[in-house]
Amino acid sequence: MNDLMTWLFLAFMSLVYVVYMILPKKARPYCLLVFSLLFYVVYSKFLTFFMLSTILSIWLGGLWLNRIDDGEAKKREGLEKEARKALKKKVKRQKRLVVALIIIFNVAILATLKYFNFFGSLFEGFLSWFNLSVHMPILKIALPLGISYYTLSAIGYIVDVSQGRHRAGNLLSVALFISYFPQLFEGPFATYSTLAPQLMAGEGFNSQNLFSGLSKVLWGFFKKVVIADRLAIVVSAVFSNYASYSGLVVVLGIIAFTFELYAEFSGLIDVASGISEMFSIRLAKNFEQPFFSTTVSEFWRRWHMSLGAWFRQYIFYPVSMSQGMMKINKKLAKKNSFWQVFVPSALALFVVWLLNGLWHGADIKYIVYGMYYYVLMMLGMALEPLFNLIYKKSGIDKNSKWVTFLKIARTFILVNIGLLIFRAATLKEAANIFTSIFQSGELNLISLGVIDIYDTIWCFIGVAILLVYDYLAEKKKLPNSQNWHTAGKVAFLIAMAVMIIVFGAYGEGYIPPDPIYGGF
Amino acid sequence: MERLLKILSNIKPGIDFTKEKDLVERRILTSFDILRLVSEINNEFDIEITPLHILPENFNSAESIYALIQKLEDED
Repeated sequence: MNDLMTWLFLAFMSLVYVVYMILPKKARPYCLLVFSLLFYVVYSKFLTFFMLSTILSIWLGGLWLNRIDDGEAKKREGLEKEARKALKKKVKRQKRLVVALIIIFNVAILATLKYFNFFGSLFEGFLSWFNLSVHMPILKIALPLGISYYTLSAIGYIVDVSQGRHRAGNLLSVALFISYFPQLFEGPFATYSTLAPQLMAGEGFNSQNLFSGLSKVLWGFFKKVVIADRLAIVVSAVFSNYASYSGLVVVLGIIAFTFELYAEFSGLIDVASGISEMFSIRLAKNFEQPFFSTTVSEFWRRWHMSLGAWFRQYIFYPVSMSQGMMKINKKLAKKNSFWQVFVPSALALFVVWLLNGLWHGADIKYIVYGMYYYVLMMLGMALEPLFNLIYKKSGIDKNSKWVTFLKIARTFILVNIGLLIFRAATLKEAANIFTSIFQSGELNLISLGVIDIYDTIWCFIGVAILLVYDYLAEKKKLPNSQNWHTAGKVAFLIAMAVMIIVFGAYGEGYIPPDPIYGGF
Repeated sequence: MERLLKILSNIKPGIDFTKEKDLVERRILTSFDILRLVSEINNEFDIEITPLHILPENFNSAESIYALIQKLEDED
């Protein structure tokens, strides 16, 4: 997002806020929908058609499922137990068919727009092994904004309606749930049952929510403009010329990318959550001090939490608790409780991480990125009994401070390797960058002149600010602004804005990097 | 309840399941633990907990888990 876009977005947001608060309560959800669609049309133009078809499909699908449920409720009255069971089975089949149709329709749109060229080239490569030459057509169409986010939310909605978690919504609430503008850039994922009631409530002005929302927006911009965009200069210098740098600088470059991604992604989520909070709408939490994780599994429970929750709810549990898996489970339970969990988890997690990798992008490196975490998690599970035995025999307290510290350091290193795969242009480049860590290069960052000493210092200060903030959040010691005096709140907001203007990476000749997660 | 508490303390020894009310939110029970728990409950109580029932409010305490078991037993 360049400077002009940022100002336009802020002007748009202010306009929405003022109009929303002026309107009567009942009209407010309509106001949000109109502005969300307007935002989408300006941003995605004719590609809005794809989002509208998703909205229509799940709205109609939801109504269809409601009708099936209502029909069953009427027919059940007066039936014997066996007949009730047969009816339940029949209804289950009908609902599965509806859900499958809606999911196929929406996944087909996503697959065509996002993955057609990737799978086409894979298919060409596969046939070339057999000396067959086929040229797949190449689709030249941009991705609709937020398609990977709203498609998964749409799938979640239809599954939830089919399973009776909530009734189908009306067209207004479903359209607003999918198109709500703050979450379209980078999420977080929402569930209909938590977001839609808030969107439809049309809550009025609340000074505390306005203050806490604005604080979040400014903190998010601070992370993006002051920390992430400055780290991006180091990252792009190192990744584009890694062979020239000494091993230590390459390591710093990789770590810088990890913090760049964290500052940027969590920053933009803070902006989205902050905007929502001003409207008294709470979005799902997406980060919880991820660098305090002691295992990679825990890291993924604290990083992009809403994506993890989606995969857990709609892929992991349905696969690992499917009837076939439960049969295997029952057999294994008689032998060993370890295998009873390991086997279904291994199979379900394979699907989760394959899809998680693919969700991040249509490229082999993203599949490898997903599989990297899959292998780490499986190793973690497989070796857990061995580690427990070592702790027991050696008398080491596995919850002691220094063991926890070592675990956090280990997890941090593993996460950095994963993000190296994520950031490098290709797998080969990732491998080359990794090996260049152990080779000597002549250049350090400052001698190359890519960044000056002022920027370098700000990179370190920025990372320190992130870590201190997270430390305080982890220890639950962040100051509570609820009791602050109004003058104090205003002074705080002004100070934050000044910090961003004075210390932000922008200005003439500076080209801000595109948001890393923005292409999804 | 006794049978459930026995299963829970087998899965996570050292936790006082009679007092703990935030098993999921405090990440005392991870998704792997829940998977094992569901499998053992299904076998022990001869019920079928499905992914539909995997909600934090159903697994946050021993009481809520037991309430789910009773509900599914009644449905049968």
